[in-house]
Amino acid sequence: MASSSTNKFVLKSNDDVSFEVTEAVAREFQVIAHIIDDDCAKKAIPLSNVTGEILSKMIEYGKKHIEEAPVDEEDEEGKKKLQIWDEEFMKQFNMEIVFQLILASNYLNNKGLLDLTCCTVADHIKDMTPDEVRTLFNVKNDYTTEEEEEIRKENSWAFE
Amino acid sequence: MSSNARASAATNGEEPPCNKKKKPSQATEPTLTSISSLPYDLLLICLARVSRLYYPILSLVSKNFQSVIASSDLYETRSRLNHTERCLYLCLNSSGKCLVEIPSPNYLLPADKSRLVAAGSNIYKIGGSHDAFELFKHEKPYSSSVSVLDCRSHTWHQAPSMSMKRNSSSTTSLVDEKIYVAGGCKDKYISYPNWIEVFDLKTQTWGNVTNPRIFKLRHGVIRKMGHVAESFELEGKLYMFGDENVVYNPKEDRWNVLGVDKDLSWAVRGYSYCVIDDVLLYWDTQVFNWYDCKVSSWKELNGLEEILPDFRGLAYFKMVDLGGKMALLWDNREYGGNDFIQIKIWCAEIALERRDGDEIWGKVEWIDLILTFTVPGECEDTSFDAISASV
Repeated sequence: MASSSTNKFVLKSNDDVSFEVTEAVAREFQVIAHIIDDDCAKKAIPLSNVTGEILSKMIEYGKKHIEEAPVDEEDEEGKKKLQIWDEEFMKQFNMEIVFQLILASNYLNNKGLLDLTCCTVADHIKDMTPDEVRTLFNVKNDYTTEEEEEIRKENSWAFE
Repeated sequence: MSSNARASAATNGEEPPCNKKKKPSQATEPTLTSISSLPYDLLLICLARVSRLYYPILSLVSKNFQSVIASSDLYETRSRLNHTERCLYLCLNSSGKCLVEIPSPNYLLPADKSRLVAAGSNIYKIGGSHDAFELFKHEKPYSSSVSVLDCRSHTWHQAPSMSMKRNSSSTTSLVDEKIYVAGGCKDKYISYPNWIEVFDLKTQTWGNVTNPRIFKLRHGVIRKMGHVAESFELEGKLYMFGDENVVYNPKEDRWNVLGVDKDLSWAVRGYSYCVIDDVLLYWDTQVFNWYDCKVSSWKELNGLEEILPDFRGLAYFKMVDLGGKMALLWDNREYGGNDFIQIKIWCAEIALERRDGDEIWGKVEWIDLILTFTVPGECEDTSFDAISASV
C-alpha cells in the first residue's frame, strides 16, 4: 500500500464539486477512513450530505490539523497554536454556516470539528436574549404571558 | 473515535457511501438551508457546552427548549463530554425566611439548622428541623430527615431518614461514595452505636460503622461547648475530632488515634477549613495554612498576603472547594439602627498552584460582591452556608 502522504482520494460534494486530498487528510473524517479501510474508495467518494462550500472548509480544517498536529500530548505550544488557529478559523462563518458545519462534521464524523463548531454555538448563545435564541433556532415562543412570568419569577435571580 | 459519535453519525445521515448500488448522490435529508434543522443529539451537544448558569434564560425560549434543558439527556451529555461545572450554592437563612436562588419549599431551607454535604450533582441536607414551630426555640432543632437537592433540575426530594435525630452540630463527610454523619444528637446518645451513621449513595441505605467514642461523658460536668465533633475526608480516610482525634480507614474498617498527624486538628479549631485536591487548608485569622502530609506539618499558603481584605472579626467566613480552586465567602454587615441589617456577601475565587513540590501559591482570580440583602434588626443570627456541586 502506498504511504498515506502520497495516496490521494477524491471527495465529491452533493453539488458535484470534487476535491483531491491526501489519504491522511481523508482519514481525518472517520466515515471516509472506514470507506478506505473497506477498500470501497477506488474512485471519487460521493458525500451526499455536504455541499462543496462546506466540504472545502472541512478539508481546510483537516489539512491544518494534519500539518500542524501537536508532536505529542506534552506539546503545549503546538496545542495552543492550533487552538488559536481554530478560533480564527471559526470567526469567518455566520451561524448558518456553523450549523451546516456541525451537521457535516457529525455526518463525516470528525470529533474535533464537531466540538469546535458546537462550542462556537454555545459561546454565541450565552450572550443572547431568549428572543435572539428563538430567531437563531427558528422556534416560536409558545408560552402564554402568565407562563413566561411564572418562569421568570422562579428564576428571578438569573434575570437581574 | 467513540462509538457514540459513530452511532450519532449513522442516525441522522445515510450509511457511509460504500456500495455503488447504494450510491447516495441525491440527498435524502432536507437541504441544509435552515439552521433549525439541528437534530436533537446535536442540539444537546451545543447546549451541554453552555454554562449551567444560563439555563434559566434558555428555558424561556420555548416549552420544547425548556423540556430539553430539564432533560436527563442533557446532563448525561454534559458528563459524557466532560463538561460538568462546579457551581457554588449559597444557602441563606434569616430566621426561617430564606433567600435562595432555587425555588424551595420553606421547610427545607434553614441553612444553619442542618448540615449540607455535596455528592456529585446532589446536595444532601441532613438533620435539622422542618417543624416550623421548633424554629422559634433557642435550642437547635433535631431531626432524622434527609432532603436532597438535585442541582440539575433544582428540585428537592426526600432520602431515607437516619435512625438518630440530629441538629446542625452534627458533622458530615463524604468518603468513597458514602456520607458519614456523626454527633449533633443529645448527649445521652454519645456512646450509642448510632451516634455515627453512614449513608451508602449507591444503595441509598443507611448503615452502621463502629462508634469511635471520641467524647467521654462525665456526669455532673456541664460542657459549655457541648460535644461537637468535626470531620473531613483526606486521601480516602475519614478524620474525626472531639476530645480525642481519630482517623477511620474504610478499607480496613478501623479507627486509629491520630499519631504524627495530630496537628491536623488545628484546622477544625480554626475559623474555617476545606479540603481541595486532597490538601487540607485552613484560615487561622492571620494566614491560610495548608498541611503537607509528606512532612506532617503545616505550611503557609503563599501569594495572598497583600491582596485579600482583612478577614478578622467577620461575622461569617467560609472556604469552599470549587473543583481544584478555592472560593472564599464572607459578609459585611451594616446596622441601620434597630430597624434593619444590610448584609453584603462577598466572594473571591483563588487558583492554587503547587511549586517545587513543597510550596503552594494562591492567586486571586476575582473578588466581587455577589449578594446584598436586608433583614429586620432582630435577625442578627442570620447566617449562610456555601457548598459546591458538579452539574
